[in-house]
Amino acid sequence: MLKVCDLEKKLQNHLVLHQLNMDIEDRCIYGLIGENGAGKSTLLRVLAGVYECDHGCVMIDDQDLHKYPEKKAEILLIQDEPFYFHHATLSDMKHFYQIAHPDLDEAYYHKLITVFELDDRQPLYKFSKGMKRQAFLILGLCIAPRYLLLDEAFDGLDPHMRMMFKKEISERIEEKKMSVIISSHNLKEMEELCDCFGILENGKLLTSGSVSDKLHEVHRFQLAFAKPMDKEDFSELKLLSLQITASIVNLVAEGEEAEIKAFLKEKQPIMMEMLPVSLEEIFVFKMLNKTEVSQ
Amino acid sequence: MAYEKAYGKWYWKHNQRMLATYLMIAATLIIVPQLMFPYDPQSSSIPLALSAYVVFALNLLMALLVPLYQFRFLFNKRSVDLYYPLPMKKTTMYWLNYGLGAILVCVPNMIFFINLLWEQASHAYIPYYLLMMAGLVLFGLSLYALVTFFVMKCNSLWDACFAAAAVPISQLLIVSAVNGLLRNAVTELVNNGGSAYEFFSLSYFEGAQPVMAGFQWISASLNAFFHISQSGGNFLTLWLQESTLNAWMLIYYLLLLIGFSDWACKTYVKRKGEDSEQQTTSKFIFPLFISLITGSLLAYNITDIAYLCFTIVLFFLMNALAERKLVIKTKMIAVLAIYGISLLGIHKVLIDTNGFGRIHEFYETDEILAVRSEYHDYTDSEESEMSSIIMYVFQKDPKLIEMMVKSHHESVTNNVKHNGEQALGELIIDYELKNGKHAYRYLYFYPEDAKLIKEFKDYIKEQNYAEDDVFIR
Repeated sequence: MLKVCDLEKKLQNHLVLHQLNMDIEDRCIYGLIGENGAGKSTLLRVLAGVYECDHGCVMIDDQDLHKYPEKKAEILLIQDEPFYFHHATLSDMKHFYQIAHPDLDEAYYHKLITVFELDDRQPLYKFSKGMKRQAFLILGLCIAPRYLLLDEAFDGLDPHMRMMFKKEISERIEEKKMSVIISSHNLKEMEELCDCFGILENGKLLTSGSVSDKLHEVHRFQLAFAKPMDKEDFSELKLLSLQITASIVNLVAEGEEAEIKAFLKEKQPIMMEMLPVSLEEIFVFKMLNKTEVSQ
Repeated sequence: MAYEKAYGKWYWKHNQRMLATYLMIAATLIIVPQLMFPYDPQSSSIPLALSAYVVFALNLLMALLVPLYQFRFLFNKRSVDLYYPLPMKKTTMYWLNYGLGAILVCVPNMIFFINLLWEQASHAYIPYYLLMMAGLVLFGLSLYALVTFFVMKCNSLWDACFAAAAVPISQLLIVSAVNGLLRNAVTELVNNGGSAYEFFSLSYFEGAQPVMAGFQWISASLNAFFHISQSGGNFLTLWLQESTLNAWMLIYYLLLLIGFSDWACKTYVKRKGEDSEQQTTSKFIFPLFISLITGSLLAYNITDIAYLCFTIVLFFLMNALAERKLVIKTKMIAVLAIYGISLLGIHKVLIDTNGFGRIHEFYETDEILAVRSEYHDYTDSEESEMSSIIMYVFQKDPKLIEMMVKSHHESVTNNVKHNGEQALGELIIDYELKNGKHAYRYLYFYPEDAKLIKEFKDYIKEQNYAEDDVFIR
């Protein structure tokens, strides 16, 4: 298990990560969600051992990553813009990654470069942005470390490629028992791909947990009443969003579905409909961090 | 250990082409001087002498470039993302890169050794060459350690390039500045002639920086070889006689090498991944080098206005490089003012105290071992009383020395009186002092000096010095 305890990180005197605690189970896909500047890339760099913690620690199996650098071999970070040496080919970069990850699966590597039609003898600077992403994702999948950290790794890939990589990742997790931590702005994709997620805001973990549990915890209702309603009428609910237009009410609330339904029924709506909530909406509501009321 | 081995293996594979090119260039540069100026056993030359200088020049060049090459990954955020997650301790990573870099610095010396075995004429000198090369390796690696330390303090490649260039430049400037400061005082206190070296022991000071020490070391070694080939003798004794360096200096360089290598390691370990591409704020880079360079340039000649203006412009340009924008701050002006006042103060103290009692125009006769003088008559007249007397070789005759000192005193009085006007010619005096130094004086002579010069000439004629030693018209 990868455990982050009371992590604090300052960059140029600006507190980027603040008292961050999180647990990442083995064999899961963890989605790291957050606005620009929330601290996602910094967190991934700390997890990869690029940045050291100013306070707190990152533990792998109860061993501090920064005290046991050999543990870094269990982690691989693929950045949104991965670095490659001057005139280096994909094959050259593979050799570099093999320093820390000698068990790179050569057969799988050759299979993937054939499937994705990449020439590993061609200099990487000649590759398009999407091809570079593919190239480094392939390295990540072939290495299959215990923890693969992907920083907005799917950005720049076309939908077909995204789909293919998602499929490869899922298969690789099954096969190699690795965990993937992905940061992305594409929440729809994260919802499809991830088992768990964490929302970062201003360096703090706003909420985290299993995607399916969270989707079951949050409910959206559309209601029509015979008389105009007021926000006070719904104050007993743990609201994430509330929009009132005279007698029409749209609300998103957190809690047990049955309890919310029972509460709303007491208000005697003319019409009550339960609508699905997406992870993207949860993110937006959490980010807004307030109940929107419009009357 | 497996990761370290894998890194070394990867480094070798990754840099093969670069290493081959470097080897080729180094080998060519070391061998070409031998082809251009082949060793002639009939002449007084020493085999591979020129190549030794090339080797050290390459050592110096590599000492400046290799730290930038080896640690260039620190100056790019994305490459830091690649290197820092390597599962190695930071100290291990540092020593791996540093060690591989040290080998690169020493490659020219290795080529030299191979060449040494191949060049038959040099075989008699092998143990001496080995000792000479050991010294050069030490100086080269000391500079490498120094540059590596300063490079570790930088956050961007440009700043690191500035630091790498500033290390040897500032060292040379400091030596020149101290020399200039003392020379200016000597010029003011001694009428004509005299140098800082005459009154102060600057050789240790100069030898305290690797660039000059290395060249002194080669020159001393080759001179010692030459003496041995001509008249035999103990090599080490001859070497140390020739060289201004001694065993203490070698220990100093060894300590410099060990100290800065270790300090650079500690700096590397303290570096944070996020420092990359940030402004370099270490006091060891811009504040230190700007101070050293500006201070040295001002000290060299603070009284020359054009030179002063150039130094001030350079000072602000270096600050602009540090700040990444051209700014003139009160603090900068205050620093310049402090420099100006301090250096003028030091200059005044040197003048008022006669260089702490060390600078003087004349020597007592018992301080002088031998004397050489030249009179050059501007009038070039056959009838002239001061017709040319040129004494080529030093004479140890006490009477002659006494006459020369007397003539010198007289000449200085007349030089002060006439201030260069209506001079009949010039007098060059070269005293060989008992402390092993030379004192040169350049003076004009006037009609009042005629009597003394005539006495001098007559005395020389009486002595019947060897014909090759004296020329009198």
